[in-house]
Amino acid sequence: MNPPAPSSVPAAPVAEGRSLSRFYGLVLGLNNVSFAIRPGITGIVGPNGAGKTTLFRLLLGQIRPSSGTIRVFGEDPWTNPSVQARLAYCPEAETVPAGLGATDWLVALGMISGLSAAVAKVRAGECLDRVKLAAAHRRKPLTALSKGMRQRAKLAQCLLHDPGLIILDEPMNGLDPMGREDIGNVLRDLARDGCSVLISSHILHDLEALCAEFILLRWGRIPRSLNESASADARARWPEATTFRCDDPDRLARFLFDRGLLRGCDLVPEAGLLHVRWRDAAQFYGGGNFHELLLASGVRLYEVQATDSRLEKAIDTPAGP
Amino acid sequence: MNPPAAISRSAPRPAPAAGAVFGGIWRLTARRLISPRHLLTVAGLLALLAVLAVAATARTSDADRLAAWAAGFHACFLVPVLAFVSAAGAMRDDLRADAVDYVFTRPVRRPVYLFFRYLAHTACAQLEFLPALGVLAGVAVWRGDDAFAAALPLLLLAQVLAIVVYGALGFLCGLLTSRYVIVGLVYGGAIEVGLGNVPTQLGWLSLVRHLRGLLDPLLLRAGETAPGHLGAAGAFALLLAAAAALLAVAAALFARREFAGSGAREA
Repeated sequence: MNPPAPSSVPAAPVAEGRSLSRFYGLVLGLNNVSFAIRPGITGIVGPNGAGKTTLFRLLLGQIRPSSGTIRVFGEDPWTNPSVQARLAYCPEAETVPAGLGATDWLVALGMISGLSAAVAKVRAGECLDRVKLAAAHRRKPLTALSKGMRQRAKLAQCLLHDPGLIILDEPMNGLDPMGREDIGNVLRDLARDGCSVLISSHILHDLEALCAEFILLRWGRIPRSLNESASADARARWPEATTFRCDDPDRLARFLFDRGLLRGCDLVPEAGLLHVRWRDAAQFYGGGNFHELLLASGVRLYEVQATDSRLEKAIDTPAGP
Repeated sequence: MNPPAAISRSAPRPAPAAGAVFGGIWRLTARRLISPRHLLTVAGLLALLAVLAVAATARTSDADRLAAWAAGFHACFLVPVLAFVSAAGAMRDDLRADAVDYVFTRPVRRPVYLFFRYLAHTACAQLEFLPALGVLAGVAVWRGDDAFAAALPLLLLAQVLAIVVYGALGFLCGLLTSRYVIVGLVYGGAIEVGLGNVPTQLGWLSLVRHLRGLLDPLLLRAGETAPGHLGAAGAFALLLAAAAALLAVAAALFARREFAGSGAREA
């Protein structure tokens, strides 16, 4: 729930773009955007067609900007092996090579990244362990794996060569909650090890739990006001509404109201649900003892889920300058 | 799993060894070619070749007929067509998302990748086409055609060269367009059939003409006439040079190609 707070002195950016534009003929991809991606986990958010994949492909050096500059590790990434050696990409597309098992695929990709066959084989095993792809599924053709398993294999191929920046396009698609938690833990570990992660997802709660900074894209632009709002001090990004599933929602509502925490609530007793709107979310979450408070209510809780967040709010807000 | 603490993840790294890169590309190439579906297709084509060989030589007692048919139809038509289609298809496969997003985001220069991919594909194709000569030899044995054995080395050389040069042409066409079959038909009609049969310098543009020059001993024995050519050594050198030139053009185009993520956006 509580993403790591950014340090007071921002670290040097891993990648940055200045006045970056990319057009596909008359079609707008990105329009005059400037950004900096700093070490840690950065979320990239926007509706379909906002320009996320275009930004990724510019960072990967697969396309060139129409105007402006882009630097990754201080270099121009366009077909630059020196940059690509330190990058990894997990695409959104479901396509994976036919006729190959996960291990064989990873060994081949590891070798293309410069590992010897023996080292690539060991690394493939380690990476598949890390993303928790069961050994029984590693020899099966990739195309025969479930969507969630394919996502794990796709993430594993990113880890082979210890990249400095991993770009993940919707890596949570098709994963169950446990899978999302597993992937989230892998990404947190990577960030702790000094790897920067740029991740896009439509599952905003997962992103909020993972990321310290955000880039919001809309129609090929990065509206400054929205980004400032979304990337504000992470400690202040408490959800403004929360849903509890419990055995006695009525009692929990009374308990929270008695303490002056709620602005309002909705009860769905037959489903055991209580939707609350906080008077001041930081008062509940920020004290660091909300777990004890919930225990003190005496209500048995099954699920706590943030249902409105600053990130959602920022996305829903009409773009300013 | 984690890199040593002293090494920064973002620090520059040495270029990958060429041997490892080729090994990885070879694995991706060979694994696709030995898939059951692909092997079934190859087996079907070999059976068809055997039927065609028997049918084409059934009504003649000429001992050289099978060798001449193999030189004219197999080496100068069937192998070039299949090598072209196979190579162009491989190139199109490489431009799909499953390769673009995983392979071309790795630290290998595009021309190097193309060259290694061509080597791996050509080696696999050579292995795949070898049984075709075995099938023809089997038909010769069945027919009691002892002279065919003497023609085998020349047929093998022509087959190897046809795969090399039409593979390169296929890579170039596959890189240029997804409608490579149409391009191949236009090329075959205009250059191989059209200009290739014109007894002028323009006829040199025809690659089949040079293949036929190489196979003259087999074709002439059967009473066919081959158009004027450079001689076997000249044809050999010219075919290799043509393959190198086609590959160089493909590499130059490939190095500048952008991968925008969808067919419509690919520049």
